[in-house]
Amino acid sequence: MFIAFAALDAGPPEAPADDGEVEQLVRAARVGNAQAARRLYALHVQRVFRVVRPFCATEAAAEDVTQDAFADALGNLSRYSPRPGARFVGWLVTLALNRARKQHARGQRTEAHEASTLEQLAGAAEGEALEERVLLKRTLLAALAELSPRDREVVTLYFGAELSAAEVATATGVSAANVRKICERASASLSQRLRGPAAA
Amino acid sequence: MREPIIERAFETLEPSPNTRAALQARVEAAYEARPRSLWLEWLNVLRGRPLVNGAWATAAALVLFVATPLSALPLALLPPRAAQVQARPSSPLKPAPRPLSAPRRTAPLPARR
Repeated sequence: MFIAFAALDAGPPEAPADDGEVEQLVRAARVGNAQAARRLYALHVQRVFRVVRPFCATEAAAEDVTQDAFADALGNLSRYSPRPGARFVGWLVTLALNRARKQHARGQRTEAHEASTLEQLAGAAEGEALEERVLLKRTLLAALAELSPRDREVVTLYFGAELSAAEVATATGVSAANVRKICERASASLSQRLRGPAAA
Repeated sequence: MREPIIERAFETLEPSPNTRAALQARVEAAYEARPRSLWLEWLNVLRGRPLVNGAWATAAALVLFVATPLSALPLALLPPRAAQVQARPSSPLKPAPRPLSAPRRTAPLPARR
């Protein structure tokens, strides 16, 4: 009977395009639909990883945090209640950010000059300048490491997870107006700094 | 406010396809191994779509109750009805019994001679 209910709640087979379809996937995963849970993972893993990575010393640590965050989120979907203006991705990246914060507080400081080897970026599309990507990544991590913890969280959520200013405000406790200010300031300094290696 | 160069820089933080696949396998294993409680699963089913799933669950419970000997169980638990012996209704012609407290009117005994 339970399996029949889970099958009734099956999510759409194609990639969802809007939040309504994500909510449908969440409902399906909540009643034990593994396919829907897999789809949710595939849709959000990149954004979660982009949020977590600046707070972790290594790729392996970021992978661990991402894995724990997904396992926690997918296993406790009943804790997520959809509200207008609060998307699933916001809830998910907030969970991941909390885990990354804990890991960061445990003393594993971000190493700005971590050896980003070409193997780590070997999955990039062929023909792309891998060296440029490595350089961009290093520069971005170094620039983010120089920000204050609060600004880093705001910038990472806004640019990395592509949340709106209101969603970032909800996740961090900073007012939406302040989020916009921080992002404007960081955007100017980051783009100036990133243009250096990109142009080189 | 979102500059293309910043977006491109954040894209470099994404995991490679190999890393993503390895992560997916680990997350799936963790998802499958999550502790599950039957009551929690049912609660989630009802929370997901309260009306539809609630109606299905009620219908399933009714079918289960009616189509199986399940309904006989509570009936078997009830104590059997004992035959009740009712008192014979009193005849309306029969005089009502006197109250005990009323003084008995008896005829005076004849005097002895």
